[in-house]
Amino acid sequence: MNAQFKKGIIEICVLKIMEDEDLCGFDVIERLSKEIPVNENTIYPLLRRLTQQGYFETYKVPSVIGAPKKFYKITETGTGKLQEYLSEWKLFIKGVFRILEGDESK
Amino acid sequence: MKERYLEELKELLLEYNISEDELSDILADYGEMIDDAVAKNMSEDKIIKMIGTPEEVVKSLSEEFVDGEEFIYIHRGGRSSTTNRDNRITALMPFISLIIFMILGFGFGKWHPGWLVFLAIPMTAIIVNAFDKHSMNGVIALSPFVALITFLLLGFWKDLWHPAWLIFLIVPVIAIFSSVKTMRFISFLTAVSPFIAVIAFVMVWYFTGDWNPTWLVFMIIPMLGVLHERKMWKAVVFELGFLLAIGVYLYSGYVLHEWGYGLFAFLIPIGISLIFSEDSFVVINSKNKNVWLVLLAATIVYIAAGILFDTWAWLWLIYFSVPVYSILRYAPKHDRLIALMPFIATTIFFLVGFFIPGAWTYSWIAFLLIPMVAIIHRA
Repeated sequence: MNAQFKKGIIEICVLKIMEDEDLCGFDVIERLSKEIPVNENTIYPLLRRLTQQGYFETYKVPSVIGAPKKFYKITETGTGKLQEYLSEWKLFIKGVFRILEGDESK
Repeated sequence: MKERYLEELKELLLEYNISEDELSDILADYGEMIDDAVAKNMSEDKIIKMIGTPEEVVKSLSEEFVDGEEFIYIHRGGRSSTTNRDNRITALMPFISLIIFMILGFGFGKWHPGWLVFLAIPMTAIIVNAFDKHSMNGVIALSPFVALITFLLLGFWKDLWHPAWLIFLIVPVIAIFSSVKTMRFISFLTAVSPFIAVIAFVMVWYFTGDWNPTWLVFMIIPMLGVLHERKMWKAVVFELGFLLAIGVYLYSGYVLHEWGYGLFAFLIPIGISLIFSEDSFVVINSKNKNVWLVLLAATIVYIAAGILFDTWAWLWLIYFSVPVYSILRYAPKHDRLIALMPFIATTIFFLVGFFIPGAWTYSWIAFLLIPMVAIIHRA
């Protein structure tokens, strides 16, 4: 699969899995890699970029075993972006299926 | 593992222009991810696979932070964007240089040193492509040309070829001092050691006329280099190997008057480094098995052809097959040609020089292929 295309999809997935739940970096990588074949080491840089773009905010939770853990929480901007991506994606995938199933006229 | 990983990551990130806050934030995040992975009993290999090697992390980070065509994480080694106008200047420079050369030659009879004007071609390319406000890359790249011009001018006009050649030392010195902020102290010492060794060697040689055993001063380069070894016992073994070799060499020379045989003592540190260095080549494993086979095949061919056809003098080139195989097998596809060029150029240089009488005087031109291919490849 085209790397840029895949990257875009992974971006949507990162936003989606954190829509209802705040996660730490490790959990994001673990959860994504369980579901889709992804180059795991590219997820943190992506997460970092999305945070700098204002789609996530971070907060720290004290940990009993070590340093406080950093959690990522989706922001309103992030939720808005996710909705935008999802509607684009649905429209796109609908068109792809129409072509693949051979009924472009519908 | 965590400390080593974070230390390596820090060193690589320091090569980029990122703020201290961002650096410590990234390191803290990776530290936290490693802690989480360890808490889940993941093996070191699995953790590295998950979060990536420090090199992969830095590559992913720098590729992620791209705004339009600009890299937000700018490597201190320089990665600046060029405009069409800049490219036009670079493309025009050969013609401009040729015109100036013709004017100087036909108009003023200054063919020499008028040819120096052609140095403007690579210099322009460097100024246009490598100058970056965030790095000293352009200065570093230009320094060989500045040194060469100074050297030639002092040589031709003042006949000061010696000691004018010392001007070339500005090249490594500028490069080293440009990155001193990002280097560990021991790396800095290692980097300046060739410079110190050359000066010490030249001074002693100049004043005493003895180059032997003065050349032993160059041993400080590998002796400082092995201090990068993380395992203390290995560093001690390496250092002892060097000291033993130097001792045996001096004993052989001064006491037995056999300087030549004394050189064999340096097989000791070479052997030690082959055996004890990481990814040792001496230990045959699945990774280097094929390289060993190529080496074996090359040796068989070299000896057999030498005995049958007396090709000893030139067929040693067959040993290039070992690094060439490694490059073809392991180097990234887009870098292969550039990596192969030194071997191709050396082969052409040697075969032309060896088989065509008097050709040594021009066969060296083959080496120009190396920068030419690199420039064309990256254009």
